[in-house]
Amino acid sequence: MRAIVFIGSATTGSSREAMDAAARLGYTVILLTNRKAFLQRIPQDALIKYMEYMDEVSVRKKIIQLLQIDYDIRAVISFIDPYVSMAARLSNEFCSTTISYEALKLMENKIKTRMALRHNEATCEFEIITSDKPQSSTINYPFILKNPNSNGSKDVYFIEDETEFEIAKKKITKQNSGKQILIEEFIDGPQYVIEVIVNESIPIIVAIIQQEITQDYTFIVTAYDAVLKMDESVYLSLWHAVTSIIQKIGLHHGSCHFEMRHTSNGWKLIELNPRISGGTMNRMIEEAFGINLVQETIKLYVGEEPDLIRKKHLAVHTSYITVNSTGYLLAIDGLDQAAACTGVVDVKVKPSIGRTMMPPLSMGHRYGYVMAVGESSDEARERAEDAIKLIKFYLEPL
Amino acid sequence: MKMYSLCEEIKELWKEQQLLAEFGKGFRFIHVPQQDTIPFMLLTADHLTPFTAIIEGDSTPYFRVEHVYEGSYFVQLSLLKPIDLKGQHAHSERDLFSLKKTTQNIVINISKFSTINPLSHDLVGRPLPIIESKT
Repeated sequence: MRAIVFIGSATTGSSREAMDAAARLGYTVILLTNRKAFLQRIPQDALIKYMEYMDEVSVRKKIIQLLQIDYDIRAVISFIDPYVSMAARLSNEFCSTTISYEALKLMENKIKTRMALRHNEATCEFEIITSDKPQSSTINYPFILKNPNSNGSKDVYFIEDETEFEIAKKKITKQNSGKQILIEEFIDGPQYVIEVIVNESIPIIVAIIQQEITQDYTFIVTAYDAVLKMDESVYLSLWHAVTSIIQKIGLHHGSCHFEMRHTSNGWKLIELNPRISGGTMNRMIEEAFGINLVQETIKLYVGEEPDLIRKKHLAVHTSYITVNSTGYLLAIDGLDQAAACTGVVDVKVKPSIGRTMMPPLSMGHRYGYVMAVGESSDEARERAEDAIKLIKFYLEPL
Repeated sequence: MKMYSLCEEIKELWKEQQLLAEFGKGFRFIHVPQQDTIPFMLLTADHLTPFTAIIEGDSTPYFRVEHVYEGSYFVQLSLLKPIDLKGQHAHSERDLFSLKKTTQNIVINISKFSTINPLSHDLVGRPLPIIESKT
């Protein structure tokens, strides 16, 4: 029985779609998860193994058990932090895959990534401080303060003065007393997600997606736009930045995504993550270019040739919804109307009735989205933005 | 016996409503939201059909006791307007979100009914929900 073991998954989005893709490719899907949500919503054709602890020792033990009952495990994969590099290491060990797990491991830590790239042109000014020591920054305000292990914009703060610096430090210190905190120069300019696959040392930029960011105390991506065309010189400089980073990180076989800003001083690296971006990213790339990136990543990891040829060029825009008030969700209106709008290909809302909703502090506080396609980026954007305005959340104030 | 019982129940509800209206008045250390209504429905003998009255072209099965006439079965009620969460007239119990007090009164003979179905006093004057959408 050919099988792929997935370590962790979200209930929707890229990581969830990866399980469907593996099933389509003819593999038995085995999900190791510590999320009880999967026990109630079992994905079709997937074998769910609930584990209270997801440390490497426990996961290794579980994989050995699966091998003993004759599963022919072809790869161990994770599209979820912090399991990506652990899955790659176990995959290489048990399935003889050749994934660059050391590079993936490096990308899982923002400080190590910055240190490895400190001489790269795309790096920004940065500084590492220890949370429990009184210390000021040598980087000028405004700057970015980050928990080095954060994801989804949690514990990433835009700091404009000393007061904000002290407050944000305390927030991060709560969970990370004595640990290191990353301070980065604030880089202004349009921000992009760059999805990359490296196949036997050959990097391929699969897709470029522009992000619209609402910047307050934290950063929330409120819309994504598939980039169909980019100025040749700008693309060339992006290509150089991406390949030089991949080379330095040592990624020879694997996938990752960059978050970069384009500035007057060239491309600057904001983040580097060892997996496809979560949420709607896989679906957007499929709608725009006809490439199911998680499916092709699975093929890459099991040693098959990924098919990264674009089958279409369609403008895609995804608009996310957040709220300005705090309250209990009483009702949701307008979903059917939004889904019926011209060009709309996907509509989802996350919260269930009775759930508490609040203004966004992290990307987890985005409560729904509308994805639309169009002949041009402007048309796709207009369709998505018009449709999402039809969705209404009714909140009972707390 | 049944008529007598229902009349007593209405009187008791009226009494409790008056106590509710006085509750918390003069408190210095805590704020108690002022409430003065115990809304209720009246059911006829078949227990199925709630009694309704017409308000602004729609019907309402929700009432407030305004006065109980001693020594008779007559009761003065004011009409409570049912509102759904969009602020429109609620046409079913399922859609009921809030009850709005009105000055429209009726006098009824309580002996024609079999059951009082009291509802939560929190429904009366309940503020409409916040509506959030992407702007």
